[in-house]
Amino acid sequence: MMTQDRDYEDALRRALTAAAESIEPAGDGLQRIRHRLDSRRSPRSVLSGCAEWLELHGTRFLVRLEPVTEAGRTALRRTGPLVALVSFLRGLLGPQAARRAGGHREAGGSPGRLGPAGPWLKPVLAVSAAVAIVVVGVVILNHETGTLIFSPSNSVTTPSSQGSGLGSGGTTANSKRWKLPLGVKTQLPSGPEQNPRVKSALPVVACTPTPSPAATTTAPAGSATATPTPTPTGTATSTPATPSPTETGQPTPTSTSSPATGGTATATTTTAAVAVLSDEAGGPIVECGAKTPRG
Amino acid sequence: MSGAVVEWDADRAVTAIYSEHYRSLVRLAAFLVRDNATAEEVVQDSFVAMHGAWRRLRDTDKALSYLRQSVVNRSRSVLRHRMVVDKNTPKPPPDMPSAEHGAIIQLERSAVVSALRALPERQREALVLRYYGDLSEAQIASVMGISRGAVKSHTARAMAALRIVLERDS
Repeated sequence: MMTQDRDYEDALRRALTAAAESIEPAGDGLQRIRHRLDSRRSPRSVLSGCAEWLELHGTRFLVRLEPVTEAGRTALRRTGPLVALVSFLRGLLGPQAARRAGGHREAGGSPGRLGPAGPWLKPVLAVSAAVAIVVVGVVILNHETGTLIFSPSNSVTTPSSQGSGLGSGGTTANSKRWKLPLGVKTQLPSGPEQNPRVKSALPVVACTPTPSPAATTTAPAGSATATPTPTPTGTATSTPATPSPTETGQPTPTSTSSPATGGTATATTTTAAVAVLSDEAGGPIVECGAKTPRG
Repeated sequence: MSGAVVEWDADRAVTAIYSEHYRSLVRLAAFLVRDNATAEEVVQDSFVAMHGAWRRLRDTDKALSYLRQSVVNRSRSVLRHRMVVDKNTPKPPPDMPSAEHGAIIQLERSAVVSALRALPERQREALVLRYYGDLSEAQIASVMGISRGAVKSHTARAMAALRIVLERDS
């Protein structure tokens, strides 16, 4: 019986070897392997590898933190939230956490070192700090962009809705607009003499003087002509202001209006300091500076 | 050891093991998956996996063992996938040979190989590793992920089944 088994085994071995001899792999196997290795090193693969790593080690980290979080939950149930928070942090950073998590570290370890989650805690804390910084930045940015500004086309825009960002001073076709009250025209900031509470790059609002509807002003040889803008309290009807840049490149808007009272004036004005601020409630406050005639 | 050095070592290990063992691994895989092209793909995938795991292996013997295990596991996956595909695709007409028919014909020249093909998957693995790969029971157990007793059992049953088929055919 044993001999017969051995015969079968030998026959099987010979048959397998003979059959295997007929199998000849292609010669470009190494090239294919190298090609696969190269494609494996592509950025996409690296990203997916990072995602896998984060998933795996994040899960491990959460599992390691489980005793600590459990202790925190217990403390929260027993005591108040503040005491529970202190207890949680102590458990997270102190040597007791190590004992609770399975004694990875000696109980009398150095007090300044992190607990069992130390290797994981550092990057997590770093990431948390980075996220906190980003959140604070976003909040500040939101606060800044919450300030309403007025575009030169007699409309109000927010900087975030402008395609070129802060300092562009222009408007985009998709920018959100509101109607300005009558008598308010826009102008880009001309220099650092602006109101310090407002970023100099932002377009600001210039207010025309508040002439009475019948007031007339004579322009002293101005280069541009503009009819006076009626005040918001005036009864005159006006068309929206249309800014036009002067030849010096400084955008000095020229507003045209046709007061109902028939008073027509030609004037060139320069706005010295104007600003737009937002009050605490979020509503726009228009500060108007001195307006001096040019020339 | 820095990552670049490890990668350089892995590249060298892939080249060295390829030149020495690629052919035998492809043949082993061909016995398991019954298709040369698939066998080559399986072995190439295993080499890629070995390259990725080289930081852990760092040894040619371990790498070869890893490769064998990877080949067996991937062959199982191929067979499982093939079984699902076969179940869900309509059967071709009898006079239309399938794409892998030619490759299978190559392997079925021998009655032994044809009998081997009729064996259950684990028994076939045990026989191929034992009589083609010349592995010990412990090595087969490691590669197949089963105990040594299970290896003995699979081998004995496979030999018995093979003997019945061969005696009937003869």
